[in-house]
Amino acid sequence: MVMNREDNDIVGCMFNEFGVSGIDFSYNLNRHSVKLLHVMPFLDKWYIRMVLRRDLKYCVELLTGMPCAPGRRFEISCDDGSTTLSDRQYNLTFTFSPLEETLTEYSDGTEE
Amino acid sequence: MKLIHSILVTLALLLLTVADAVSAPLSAARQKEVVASLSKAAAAMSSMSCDIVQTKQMSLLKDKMVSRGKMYYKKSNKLRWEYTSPYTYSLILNGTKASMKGKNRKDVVDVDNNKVFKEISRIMMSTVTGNALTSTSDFTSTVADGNATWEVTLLPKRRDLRQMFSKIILSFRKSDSQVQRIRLYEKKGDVTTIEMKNIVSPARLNDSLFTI
Repeated sequence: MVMNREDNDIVGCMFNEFGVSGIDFSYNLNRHSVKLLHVMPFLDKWYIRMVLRRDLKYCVELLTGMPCAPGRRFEISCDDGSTTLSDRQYNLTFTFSPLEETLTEYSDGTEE
Repeated sequence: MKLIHSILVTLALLLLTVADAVSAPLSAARQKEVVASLSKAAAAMSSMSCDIVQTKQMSLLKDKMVSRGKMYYKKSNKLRWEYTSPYTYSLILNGTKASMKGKNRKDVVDVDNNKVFKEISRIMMSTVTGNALTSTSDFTSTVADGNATWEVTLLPKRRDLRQMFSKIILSFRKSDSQVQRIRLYEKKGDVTTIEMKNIVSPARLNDSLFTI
């Protein structure tokens, strides 16, 4: 997942290892709510979107250090640099590990 | 004013020339010839290894994400796709089994019992090797001349693929008919480009690379 702050929103994209987009969302800092901008087709059902909106709200708040009060249905844990939010009601687990930032020079002359 | 006009005309002519040089469409007969030749080369490929550089251009964030890794292929149903930076992840397809291994987790899937995975693995194999050109049930294809490459545009036919991708462009090197670049255009505007570098084909590959 990649997130960026844009004015009053935190905008984020979740995609898999092959770059295929899963979910795009924005979190409004004034309303403290998530808007789903894009959901991949097989997740694009109203009942799934409803759960995603709620769970992603807590994920964003957790990862950005904002006050987060998810309630008894959720479990939060931090372990070895990773942050995990478990939605016990729907048996969903979100685990976030920071991507390694290393400056590496490659033989083709590029750096990252 | 006259100077500005002549500069604009020169620029317009230059742009037209460049556009032509980038990819010139081919006649239907010539396209058929090229597809047949590329398909023959893809079918004959016994093994391959290469470095991969994957760039995802995100339309929403106006940002790009670069990942690097390696890819290994062995005819006819063995593929190892691994990322080494900025995350470690590997996908291994071997016959009817697939394994996905990340930093903290490994999953093994029986491809035959999982319809979605079966399709994903089939499409991945066919795209990487170039066999997608003959998957007429999955794609319609058009070929353009990109100077040093053949640019093959695949338009998805199936609804599930069309919902995700507007098109896929495969760039084949004319010198050896190898796929050197894959561009996945998502409907929402994101583009993922996978560059295949340092291609070795045929490659001496140990079967242990594909152990699940």
